[in-house]
Amino acid sequence: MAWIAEDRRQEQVTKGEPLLTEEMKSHLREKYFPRYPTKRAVLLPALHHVQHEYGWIPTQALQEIAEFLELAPAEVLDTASFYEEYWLKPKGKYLVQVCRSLSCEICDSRKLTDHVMKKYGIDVGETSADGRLTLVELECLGACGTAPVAGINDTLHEELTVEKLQQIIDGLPEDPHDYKDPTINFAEANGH
Amino acid sequence: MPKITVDGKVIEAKDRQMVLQACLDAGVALPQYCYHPGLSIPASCRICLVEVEGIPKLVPSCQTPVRDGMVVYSKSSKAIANQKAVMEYLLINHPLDCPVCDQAGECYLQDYSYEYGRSQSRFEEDKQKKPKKDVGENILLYNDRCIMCTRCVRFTREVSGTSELYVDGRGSKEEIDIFPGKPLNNKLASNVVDLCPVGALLDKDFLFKQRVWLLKQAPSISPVDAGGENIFLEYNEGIIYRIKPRYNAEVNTWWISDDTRYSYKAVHSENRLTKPMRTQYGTQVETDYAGAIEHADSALKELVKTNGAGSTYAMLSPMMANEEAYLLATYIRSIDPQAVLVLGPTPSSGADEVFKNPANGKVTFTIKAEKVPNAAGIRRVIEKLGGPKATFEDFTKAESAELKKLKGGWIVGGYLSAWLPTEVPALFKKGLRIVQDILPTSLSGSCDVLLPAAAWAEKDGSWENFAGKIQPFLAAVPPPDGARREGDVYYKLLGRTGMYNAEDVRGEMGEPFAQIPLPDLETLAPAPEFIEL
Repeated sequence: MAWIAEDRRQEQVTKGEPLLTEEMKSHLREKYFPRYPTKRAVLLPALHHVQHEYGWIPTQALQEIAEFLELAPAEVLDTASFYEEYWLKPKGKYLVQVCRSLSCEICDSRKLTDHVMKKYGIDVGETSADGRLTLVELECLGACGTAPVAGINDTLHEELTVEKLQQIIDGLPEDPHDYKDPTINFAEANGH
Repeated sequence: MPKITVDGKVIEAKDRQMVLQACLDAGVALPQYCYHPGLSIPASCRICLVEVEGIPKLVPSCQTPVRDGMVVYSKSSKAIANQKAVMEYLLINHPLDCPVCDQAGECYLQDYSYEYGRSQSRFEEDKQKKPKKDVGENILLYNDRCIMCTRCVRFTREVSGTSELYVDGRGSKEEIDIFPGKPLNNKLASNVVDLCPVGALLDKDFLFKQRVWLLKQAPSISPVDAGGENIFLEYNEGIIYRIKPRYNAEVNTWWISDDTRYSYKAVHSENRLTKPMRTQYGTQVETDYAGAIEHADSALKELVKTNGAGSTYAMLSPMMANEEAYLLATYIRSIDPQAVLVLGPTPSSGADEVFKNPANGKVTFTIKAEKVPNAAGIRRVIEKLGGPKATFEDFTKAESAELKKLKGGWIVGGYLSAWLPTEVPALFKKGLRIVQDILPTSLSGSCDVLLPAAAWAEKDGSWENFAGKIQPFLAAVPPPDGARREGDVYYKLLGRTGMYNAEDVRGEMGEPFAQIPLPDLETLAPAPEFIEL
């Protein structure tokens, strides 16, 4: 790397069909604009909305959000890169989030991670070759009483064992939008 | 007026002022990285934390308003422990590349490391390495050296209003960056280099050119527009290496435009005129300077003798200092009392460029449309001397009886780029033409006498900006061999002894020129009244 400088000026963002569609825009306009005093405040919901649609937030979409909310693209990227929950690189259809906080750690959460790593040949933060799973570890999911736990997309799975986790993964539907928590509908609760 | 005690010294502060500002105003030094009087206060660098009586924890002095009777300790054991800790944290990942860093010598991190830090690092692990980035036409970003004070990010958001820079990620992975393909290319962009307290943001133009401790400063004024931005010319051994802003609350505050910053290049242009010329049998031949001056003088006198009063003109360039314009006008009027004084072309870009803070709509900086520094001053000089005068438009058309009588005159250029208008005045093509200029034009190649002149950085003088503020500037470097300062030429023509002295001439010119004080080099940029929260 020594004296080589990355040329950030020339980098081009590929332009295709708009990712932030008119439909998504009107949804944001109707649902979120009335809630806040400024357009800037709709940035987080807008990022969520795009991520929910595509699984991640492409750079082109960041630019479109900036235009839509009258912000500088750099300000949008500033916010999006601050939160780890926004994916600025493609991830798999399903995000397997294994808790690594104290209670889960004591109850062998590491075995869950190791199992997924070995079974799919991926490291933490990586996506399986078929693009189906992305494995991450995160801090407390707020279900210490039923440790070890893992979240798969918006759904929480408790009292896991390696076998149970594998069973759940095997039973995941092809389209992640069809995957719903039987008890709580997170998507509706979050307004998506 | 609240009074506070800082380290046993009683300081008078202004209402709603922050402790740090009050201290800086009173000349008490407190360390600071993220704080800049022209930007908002994030209180993120934590080096300015001080102990205040009655508050158990340390408070950031940049963000704590003064209160009457406040007792502040910046050198208590708690405050010193914090300063040491902050320095140690900042240096954990900072490379030790001062010998190849352009900022070395004017680096806050170096200064504070010396003053507040430890002599040795206790960090044995590997340092984080971050990439170097090309972020703008004039700017390089060395992320390794960045201490995340975010001054540059705040500048692009609050002053230039263009928001090109942002903070990528958070925590120890934070980096300054630009949105891919959206470079930092606004007209104020290079100010971020001045703002950067360390060597993270670098000016490509100055990169590896000179060590800063070799540079000397001369206070000067921007030559590129009528705004009159205050600058320092930084030079060493007769070469200007860079231009830095000089604080002036009434004119440019802390910033200058990029046009101003890189204007010094014309001074060291390879094309500079350095050979005095005179026409002999229809062609220009080289001559010595004294001969050229004598030739010009006698030719002008001859012209007036044959054609009578009112046959000569002097084109006073808006690049000239007021003093020089006054001397030239005095000289030509001593030969021809009816000589016409003409203000040279004043190119304009059409409209002022106004920068605003998008958050509150306040104007932060204006780049004036008029692209010459002293049109107002020359107008004032012409007005003060009275007698026949003409605008450049009228001079070009030459329709009035008075202008039709003109047979020759003295033309001063001195512009930093091509200045001859597309419609060249008829008088520039015929008659006696004595030209003083710094860069070649078709006129300098065909005139009767050519006197190579000095650029603004090579002479003393004063300029009046668009708002009527007359500001002096001092010479930084000598003119190139073969060129002479206009003032010296006029002194010789007027039969005065000694060298041209701008201050003496100003005294002679009377009000308002006589009273202009020279810039005070000791005055540091003060903090403003207060920053609204």
